[in-house]
Amino acid sequence: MDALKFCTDKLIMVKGMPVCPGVAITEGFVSPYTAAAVCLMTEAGHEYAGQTLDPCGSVLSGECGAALCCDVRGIIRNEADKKGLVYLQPSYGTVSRRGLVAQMASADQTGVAAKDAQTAFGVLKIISTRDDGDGCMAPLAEAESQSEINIFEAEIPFEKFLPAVFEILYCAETAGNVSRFDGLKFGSRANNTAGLNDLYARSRGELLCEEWQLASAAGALVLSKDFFDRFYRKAMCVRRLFFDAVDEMFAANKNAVLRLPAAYKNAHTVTALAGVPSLFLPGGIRLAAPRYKDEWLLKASKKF
Amino acid sequence: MESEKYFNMAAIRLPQEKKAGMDLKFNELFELFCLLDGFETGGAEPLVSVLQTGRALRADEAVKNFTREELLGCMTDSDGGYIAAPKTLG
Repeated sequence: MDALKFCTDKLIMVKGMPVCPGVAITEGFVSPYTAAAVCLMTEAGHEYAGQTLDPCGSVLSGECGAALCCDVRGIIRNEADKKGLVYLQPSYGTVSRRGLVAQMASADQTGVAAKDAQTAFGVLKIISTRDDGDGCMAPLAEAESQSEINIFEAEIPFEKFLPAVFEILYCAETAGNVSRFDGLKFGSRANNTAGLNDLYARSRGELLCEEWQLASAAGALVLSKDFFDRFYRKAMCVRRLFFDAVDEMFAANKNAVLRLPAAYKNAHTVTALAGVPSLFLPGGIRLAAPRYKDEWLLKASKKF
Repeated sequence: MESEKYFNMAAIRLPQEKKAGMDLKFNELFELFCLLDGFETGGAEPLVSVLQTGRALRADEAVKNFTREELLGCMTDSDGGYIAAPKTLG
């Protein structure tokens, strides 16, 4: 792959640059280190162009050849879809999460927005280097010799329940991870507070972004003794059933990737909950592959 | 569902003008969560991680990645080698 310029979204940290630009509670705090994926890209000779709140816009305009993004909720990949770009979400554990601002740690993963699948996979090849700094890296994938990849369509198991499962786990995990933003240790805080609890509550009430406020409160609910079994534990059990069903679905369709319906709005829940890779192509084409068979997506993309 | 209790548990005191809107969104989420009430899991074990490598933890190893000065340099304000913060005790 030729050298390219690349940018990052707000959840990927770069030494000396703001952490989560646009989020008031981290305003003024800069990262002490650079995310592993960014280091790997620059070490491979690619030029880092900076952080952006609009990674897809940067790629679309040609300002950057690729954008590294952490898109657990599917917002960036839907944006890429609208702009006619490609978005590659790798298998969970393929890319080091060191240097990501953690939200849903069991699904957080760096993905790539680019103008074409070849570029996205070129970037993935660089950033999917094993990193002992991330304790949740997957075992190295075996060399792939499969040349012909088929495409199949199928009903998504437990489809109706996936948004609920995803949101419960997202809220529970995000609540824990963003609890560190308390008004003391990172960035900004509320003014004229009266004591420690007031400092925490008003800083988080006034400066944490709305998405994280909601996730924190809903996370407190699903992790509370009244709702733990009813919501959180049950969501993890449904995730187990879904995980197994996805594996069975791929096992029944040898050497094939799944084409998700173009109208399916919750494709991100499939990749997040099963840890499988997915590729969004222009024109509403959404493909998912078995875990660690990311390369199959590139082969399948050539059929479109 | 009364959302204020859970915002309090999360150490979040919303400004008055945001409370109604957030209460609405919180209750929409709660309704979504309630969908699982109709799901029978049949004794399935919870899935904690999609990685099927066991739950091997790294051995603890103390590593000094940063100096105090480097970390304080990332903060908005510091004073005498510590993070500067307002008075927090009565």
